[in-house]
Amino acid sequence: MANSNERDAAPAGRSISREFLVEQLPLIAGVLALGFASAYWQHGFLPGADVAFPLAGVRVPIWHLIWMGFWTGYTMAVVGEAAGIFALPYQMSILQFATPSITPTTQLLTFLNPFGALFGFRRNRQWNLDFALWVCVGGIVGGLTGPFLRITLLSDVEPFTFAVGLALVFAGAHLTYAGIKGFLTRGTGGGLEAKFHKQAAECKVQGLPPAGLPAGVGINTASKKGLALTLEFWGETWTVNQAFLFLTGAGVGVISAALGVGGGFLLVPIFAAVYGLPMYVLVAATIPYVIVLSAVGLFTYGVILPAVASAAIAPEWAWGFFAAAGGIFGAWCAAKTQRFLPEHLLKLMLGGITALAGTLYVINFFFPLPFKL
Amino acid sequence: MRHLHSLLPYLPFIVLILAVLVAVYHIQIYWQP
Repeated sequence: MANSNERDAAPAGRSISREFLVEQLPLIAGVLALGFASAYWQHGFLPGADVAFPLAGVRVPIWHLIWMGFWTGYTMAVVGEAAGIFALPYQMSILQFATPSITPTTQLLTFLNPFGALFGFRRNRQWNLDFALWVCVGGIVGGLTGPFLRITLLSDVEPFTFAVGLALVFAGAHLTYAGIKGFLTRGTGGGLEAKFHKQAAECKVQGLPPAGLPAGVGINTASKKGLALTLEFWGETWTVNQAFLFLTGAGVGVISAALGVGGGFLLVPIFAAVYGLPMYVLVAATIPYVIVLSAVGLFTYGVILPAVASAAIAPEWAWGFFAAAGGIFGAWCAAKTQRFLPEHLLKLMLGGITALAGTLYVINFFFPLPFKL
Repeated sequence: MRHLHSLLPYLPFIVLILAVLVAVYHIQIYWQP
C-alpha cells in the first residue's frame, strides 16, 4: 500500500500541470473565445475600456472582468461557495452594472463556473444522481418562475438591491457562523470531520500530500423506499426526504433565479442544518443544482419571458463569458490549494465583508446613505 | 517549489488586497464625477 502511495505521490506536480493543460486550459480558452465571439455577435464590436458594454451601460476593461471572475471564484470556492453571491454586489457597486441585464449575466457566470469542479468531483466519485435528481427538478421549477419575480416585484433597482442585501446578510451570517464553529471545534469534531483530519494526518506522516479522503470513496445509494432516500459515504449514512429535496430546490431556485445567483449559498446551510450533511456529500447535489438552475434561468430570461410577458432581459453575453473564464481558473486554483489554506479565518473574513455589504444595501433601502452604492 | 508552498496560506489575502486595489483603480478611472 505504501509503495503504491509513494508511486502516486511522485508525479503529483506533473499530474496537476497535466490536469490543467488537458482539462482546464481548453475550457478556459474556449470560454474566452466565446466571450470575443459573442461580443461581435451581440453588438457587432468589442466593448471594454473605451466603449461601454451596451446592456450594462458601463466601460470596464476586459482584463478586469477576467480578474473579477478569478478573485471571486477563487476566494469563494476556498470557503465552499460559488462566485455569484460575491460577484453580484461587486458588479453592482464597483463596476456600476445597474440594469436588469445583471441578473442573467451573473447567471451565465454561475452556470459556467462549476464545470471545473463538476469534473473533479465526478472523478473523485463525489457524485450521486439519486440525491441530485429531485433537488435539480426543484431547480428547474425555480429557474422557470424566479425570472417572473425579477420583472415584477424586483424590477426596480431599489427593491432588487434590497433583496440582494438580504441574501448577502444571510450568506455572510452563515459564513461567519461556520468560521466561528470551525475555530471552536478544531480537532474535537466527531464523525466524518474527525475521520477526515485523521486521514490527512496519516498522509502527512507518510510524506504524502495531506488528502483527507481516501481514493475511491464514493457517495452510494444505500436504499430508496418511497420518499426516503438513504445515502452512504465512507461508513456514515444519512436519510433524506425526496419531497423536501424538491421543495427546497424549488424555493431556493425562485429566489436565486430572481437575483441571478447559483443558489448554493442557501442550499448548503439548509441541507447542513436539516440533515447534518457534510460538504463532501452536499456537493453531489449542489454543483449539478447550480448548473441546472442557472441554465433554466438563462433560458427563461432569454426565451420564455419574451414569449409570455414580452419582457426579455438579455444577458451581456461577452461580460459573462469573460468573467466565467477567470472564474473557472479561480475555482480550480482553490480546489488545488484548499488544504493549505486557513479556511476558518477566511470564512470569518469573507463572511464579515459579505454581511457588511448586505447590511449597507438593506440600510440604504430605508435611509439613503451619503455615498454611492 | 518549497518557497511557493510556504506562500500558499497567504494567497487568498494577497488576492483580496489586489482586488481592493483594482477596485480603487477602477473607481478612480471609470466612475463619472
